Amino acid sequence: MTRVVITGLGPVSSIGIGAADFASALRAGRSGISRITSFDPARYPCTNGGEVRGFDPGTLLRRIDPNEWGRSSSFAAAAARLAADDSALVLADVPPDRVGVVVGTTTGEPQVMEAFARHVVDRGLARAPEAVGLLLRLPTERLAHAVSTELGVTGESITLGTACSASNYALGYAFDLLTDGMADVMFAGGADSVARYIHAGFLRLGALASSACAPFDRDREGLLVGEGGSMLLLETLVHARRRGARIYAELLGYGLNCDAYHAVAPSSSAIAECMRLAHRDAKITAAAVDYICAHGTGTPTNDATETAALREVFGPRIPPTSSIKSMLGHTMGAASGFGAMASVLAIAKGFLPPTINYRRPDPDLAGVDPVPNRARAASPRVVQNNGFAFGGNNAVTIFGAVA
Amino acid sequence: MTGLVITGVGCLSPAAAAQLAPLDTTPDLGRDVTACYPDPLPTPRAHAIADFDPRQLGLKGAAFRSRATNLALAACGRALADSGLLVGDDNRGRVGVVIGCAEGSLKAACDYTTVTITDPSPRHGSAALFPGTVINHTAGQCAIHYGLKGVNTTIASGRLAFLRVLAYTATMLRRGRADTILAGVVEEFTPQSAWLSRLAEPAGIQGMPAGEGAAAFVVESADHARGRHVDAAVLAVATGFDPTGGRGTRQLTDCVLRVLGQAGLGPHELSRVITDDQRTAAVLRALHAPAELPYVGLRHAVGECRAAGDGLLMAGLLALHRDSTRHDGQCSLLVGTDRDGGVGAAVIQAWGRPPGAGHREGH
Repeated sequence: MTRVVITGLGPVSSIGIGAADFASALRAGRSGISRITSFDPARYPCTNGGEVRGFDPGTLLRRIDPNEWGRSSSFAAAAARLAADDSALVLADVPPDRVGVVVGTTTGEPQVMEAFARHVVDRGLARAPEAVGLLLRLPTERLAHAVSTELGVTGESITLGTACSASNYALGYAFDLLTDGMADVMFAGGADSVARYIHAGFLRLGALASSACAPFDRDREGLLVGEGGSMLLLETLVHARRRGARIYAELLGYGLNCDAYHAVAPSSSAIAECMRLAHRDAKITAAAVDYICAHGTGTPTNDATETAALREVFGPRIPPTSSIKSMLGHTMGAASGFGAMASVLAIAKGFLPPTINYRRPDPDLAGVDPVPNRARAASPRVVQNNGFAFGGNNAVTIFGAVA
Repeated sequence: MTGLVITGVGCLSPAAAAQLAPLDTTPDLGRDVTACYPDPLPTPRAHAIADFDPRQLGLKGAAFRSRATNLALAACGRALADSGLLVGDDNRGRVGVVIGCAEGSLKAACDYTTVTITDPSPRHGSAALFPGTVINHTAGQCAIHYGLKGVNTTIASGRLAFLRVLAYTATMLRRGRADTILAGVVEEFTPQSAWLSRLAEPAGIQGMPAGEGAAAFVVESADHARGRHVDAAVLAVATGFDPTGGRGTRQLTDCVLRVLGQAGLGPHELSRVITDDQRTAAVLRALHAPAELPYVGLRHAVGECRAAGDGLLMAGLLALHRDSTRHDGQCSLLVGTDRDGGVGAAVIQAWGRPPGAGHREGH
C-alpha cells in the first residue's frame, strides 16, 4: 500500500509567511488579528479580522504575474512556491504530469467579485465590458490553475469549493491520487481572501465576535473573518525517501460525509461519524489520537457541537484539543490546511499549539482540554485535524509520525 | 477500466430535443430573453430554459435558492427516479453528491454584495440568503432534500466541470468512499453569468450566446448496480493541465492517449467524438483517427453553458442511445478543455433502454 507523507509547508498567513515564521508563531501563541484595512470596517460592531500583512506576491512568485490573478489565486500560488522551497524538492526532477494540484476554497475571489459588483453599482451592468479584467480574474477554478501555471506542472489542477473544510477535502483527494499511483507529488491546501460581504454575512448570521476569537471559552462570541493560503507538499513515501527528503509526518487517511441536515447549523452525530470514518480509513482507533486540531471557530454553536461529537467518539478521554483559529481567525477554505500544518508541526517539532484568548472554562464543555494560552511540549504520534462547513460538508484528516 | 457505470440521468436543457450535431452546425441564437430580467443583457437572445418553475419541485424554500441550485435539484431528482435507486437509512450514508459549477450562483453573490454596498446600515444583507452566496450551497441542498449523507463535494470548474466531476467520482468510488454518487453539473442563465460568458469565455467572446442547464448522473460500481439498468460504462477518464494556457495540444493529446489506453481502444474503434472544442479533430487526426470519425457537439443548440456544457453533451449522448438498441455497445470519446489550460477526456460505452428490451445488468 502506497504511503503518503508531508515534506513541505507553504503558509501565507496573518501570523507568518513561510514554514519557520508560521511554526514559531504557533509556538509563541501569536495573534494575527488586527483592524481590517481591505475595507473600512467602521460601521460594523466588529472591526477586526485576520488579514495577511506584508504579502508581496511579486517577491514570491516566479512565473505568474499577480496582476493577472486575484488575491486568493496569488495566495495559493505563493503558498505552493513556499511549500516547494520548504521541501527542497527540485521540480525539474519530477515529470510534470506526475505533479498535481488541489486547492480548497470557500469564496474563491471575493475581492474581485466585490470590485465587479461595485463597478455595476457605480456605472450599471451595461458597462460590464469596462470591467473585463475583473471578470477574467473572477472564476473560482483559477485558484488551482494559478498554482499549476506558477509551477509549470501538468497533472490534475482542481479547485474544490467545499467551503470551510475545503483544505481537508483537498488533502484527501491528493492522498487518493497518490495512493492510486496517479501522481508522485501533490500540492494541496486552500486559499481565501477577506471581503466585506463575508464579514457582513457572518455578522448577520450572529456568528461574528466583537473583537477577539475565543474558542471553547465560556463567553465566546463567535468567529473573526481571516484569509490566507495554506499549501502543503505531499509525496509518496518512496519518492520522498529516494530523494532524501525531510519528512514532517505521514497522512494516514481521511473521512468525508455530509450532515444533510441544515444549510448552516451543524449536526454532532454526523460530525462524530465523520471522525469515525477518518479513523477507519487511517486504520487507527480513537484511543490512538494524541491531539486534535479543532475546527474550533469560536461560535457558541460550533464549539458545543464539536465537543458533543468528541464526547461521542472519545468518551470521557478526549485528547487535548486546541483551535488555531484563536490566532488566525477563520481563514475559510485555507483553515483546515493551516490546521494540517499545525498537526504535522505538532508531530515533527513536539509541541501542541495553544488556544489563545482563553479566560473562563465553559462548564458545558467539560472534558475538553483546550491547551489554554500557551503551547505545550508533547510528543503526539497521531493527530486528528477537523474541518466542518456550511451545507454539512465534514472532512477529517489524520496524521501520524513516520515510523 | 474504471469499472463504473451510469444507471440514471436527469437533465434540464434549453433545447431538450436537440441532437448531437457536427461542430460546424450553424448556431441557433436562442430565444428572446429580454423579459427574463430587469437588467441589461449582452445579447437579446440566449439559451435560457423556458418555463422552469422551481416551485414545481415541491421542495420548500425555492425562493431562498438560486436558479442554479433549483436546476440542480431538479436534475438530481430526475436522475434518481430514472435509476430506480432507493435511498433509505440502510444506504444513505453510502450515497454521495458531487456537483461541478463555476461560481455556484454569481448572481446570488453579486446581489448580496450589492446590498452591502448600497445599504448603509451595519446589519445589511439577509441571513437566509448568505449561505447561498457560497459555491457549495447547491451540493448541500441536494443532500438535504434527497437525504444523502455520503461524500458531498463541490468542484469549482467552468468548461471542464463534468470531466473533473467524473474523475473525482471515479476516485471516490474506486476507493470505496461511497457506493453511489449523484454526479452533476449546473450553470444558470442570469445577467451576471451572461456578461461573464460574453466577456471572459472564448466562445462567448466570439459571439456564442450564453446558455444554462443542469445534468446529473447516478454513477456506481458495476457490482453495485446489479438490478438496475446500465445506460453507460465509463471505460476511462483523465484530466490534466497545460501551464502555457492551453496554447498547445500536447497535454490534450496525452489525455486522449491515456483514456484510449485505459479503455483498451484505438481511435478506429470509436463511433464518435463528442466535444465543443475545435482543436479535438486536429489531435485525433494526429493520432491517425479515421477521416470519417464524426465530431459532434451541442453548443449550436444550447449556447455556452460553461460548467453545464459537457454534462449536457453526455446527456445528449445517452439520449441518442436511449430509445433503441441500434447504437448498443458503441464507444464515444468525450473531450473537454477550459480557457486557462485544463484538459480532460473520457471514453463512454453506452446502450439503449427501449421498452420491453429486457433488463441490462451491471457488467
